Amino acid sequence: MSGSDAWTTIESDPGVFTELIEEMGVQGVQVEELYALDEELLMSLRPVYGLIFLFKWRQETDNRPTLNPEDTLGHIFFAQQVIPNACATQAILAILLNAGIKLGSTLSELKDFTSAFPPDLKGMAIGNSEQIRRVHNSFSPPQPIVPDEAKLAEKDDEVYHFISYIPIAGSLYELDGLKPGPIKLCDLDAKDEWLLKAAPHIQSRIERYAQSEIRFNLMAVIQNRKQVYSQQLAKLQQSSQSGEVHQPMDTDLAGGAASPADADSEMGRLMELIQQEDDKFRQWHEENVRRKHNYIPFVFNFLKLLAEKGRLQPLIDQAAASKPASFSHQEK
Amino acid sequence: MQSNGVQVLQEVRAGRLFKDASTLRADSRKGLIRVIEREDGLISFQWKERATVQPDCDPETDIITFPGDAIFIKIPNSSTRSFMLKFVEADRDLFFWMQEPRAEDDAIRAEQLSANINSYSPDHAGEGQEEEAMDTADQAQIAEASCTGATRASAEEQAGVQAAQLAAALRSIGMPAGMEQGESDVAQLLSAMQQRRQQLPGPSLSEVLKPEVLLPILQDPTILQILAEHLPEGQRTQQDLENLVTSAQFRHQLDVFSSALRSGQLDLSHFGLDSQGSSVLDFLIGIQERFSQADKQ
Repeated sequence: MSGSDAWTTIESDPGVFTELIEEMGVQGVQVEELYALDEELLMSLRPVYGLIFLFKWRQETDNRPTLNPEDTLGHIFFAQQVIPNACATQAILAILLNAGIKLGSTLSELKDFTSAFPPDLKGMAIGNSEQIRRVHNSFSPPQPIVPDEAKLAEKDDEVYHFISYIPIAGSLYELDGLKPGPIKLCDLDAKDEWLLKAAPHIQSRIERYAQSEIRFNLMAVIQNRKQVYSQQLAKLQQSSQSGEVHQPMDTDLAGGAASPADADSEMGRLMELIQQEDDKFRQWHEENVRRKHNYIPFVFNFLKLLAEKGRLQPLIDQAAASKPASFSHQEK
Repeated sequence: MQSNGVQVLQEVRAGRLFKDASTLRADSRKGLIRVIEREDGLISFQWKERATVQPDCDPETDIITFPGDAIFIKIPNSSTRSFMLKFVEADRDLFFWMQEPRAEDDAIRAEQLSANINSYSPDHAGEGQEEEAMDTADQAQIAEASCTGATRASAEEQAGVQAAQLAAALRSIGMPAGMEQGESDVAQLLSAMQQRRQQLPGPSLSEVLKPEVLLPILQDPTILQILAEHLPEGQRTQQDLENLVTSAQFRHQLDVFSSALRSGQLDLSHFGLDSQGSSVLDFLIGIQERFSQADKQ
């Protein structure tokens, strides 16, 4: 299974996805995990390009009609999920390639090259993309300790499935790579907030799965928050310097700054948020460095050092006494 | 579904086939194959008649299967819906004919049966024993012996205790149909159990190298000095080292490594170790033997 063209499993973690997106050449996008379907929280994260709902998959009856992909060629990028281990990346691509944002060369080329393909060929093109596969696989431990994936799958033989929710050209869609085509959920008026229209659909899934105790995650693909806050901060600094009467911002800020004192506290709040984003990205980067580093030489040399210092025996005794493990495969 | 601590892993509607000289004769009764996981974590393969008034009648066949004992396969060169429980040991085979409506699913069911009778759930052995009602005093003895944490005995000692209790329980509930009862068979069971126990995977490195074990050790400053070159650039401070051993990413790599080791994909000779084994314990012992300096202390 571990051939040079295999896709490995990666963690479903916002830090992984954020760096994955960046390494595929897309700037200014990040992924946040949502632990509840909180409409206020969703609104505060705007602009949201799309939502990804992931859950442990099992057979379900779903008789909702799907659009004929031929009818939507050129408007909706819809690819079928061809490679199981790539499903996270495919769900992310489903959003990036439909969001109307600047894509960078790798993804722009992919989108153009496959624009006339049917969904299965689009899926295969993604699977065959060496660049995307290389970036995806980089988030798994490096060779030679990538085991036969089939063996790990035995122990935790549940498959995760990813569904993307995204507004495209005035309608809300559900994109599921295991279906033959996109599912249109509803039309969106100019004044509609698509997040609020998507929430009930996601909520009913959550309720359905919660009853069967199926675990799930919800992620939002959004504009880089530090960028958003920095822009807001810059505006505030500009207008307070020029002494203008400040306009309330039509964003998620609670009220608009209407006086110098308010402007100051608002700027303070934004700077704190920016600091939090910096801390979060630093933490994410640390974790990704660890994910990509092969620690076997470290472990071996550490154990060797302990043996030389006569400190290994207690660990051996402990290993001999403990009951057999159930290995946990770290995949959400 | 759980009842009395027993977990039904799989049920397949099937009838018996009996050897009659050189042929297999079908028993026309409607029956049920059931694979269960007992309270003590052992797997039982059972067959019982279906058309009885009481749903919970005792099975006619009730065999404990250890991993590696048997597989469930189609009978070679015979009619399509004939299957067998084929044992590694001679003269223990049992034969069945499928009574499920859809023949297309026979192959999958057989695979699942094979998987279930070869499974082993160490986590269940000893779990919830205190709450469940015991059918016999002997089963209670097995449960207590299996509870880990009650004793710091070595793995071998634990296996010995379990095997003795198991033998006693089997004697009391009666051996399954087709098996001779005798001391030598019990002795065989004991040694089979010992072997199984030794073949079992053992802990993952992530369990041996727990943070609470490692952090005190890492206070020794020479460790970072020597190991820094094996850490990624930019993560070579003492704080980084301590963050590492508590991180999920490190734990995951230890699990992946332990799994690869166990599956035989990693040859310990790659590490310059003599050990022939493939468990984490073998790995640690190999390192100890190669690098510990017996003349010091």
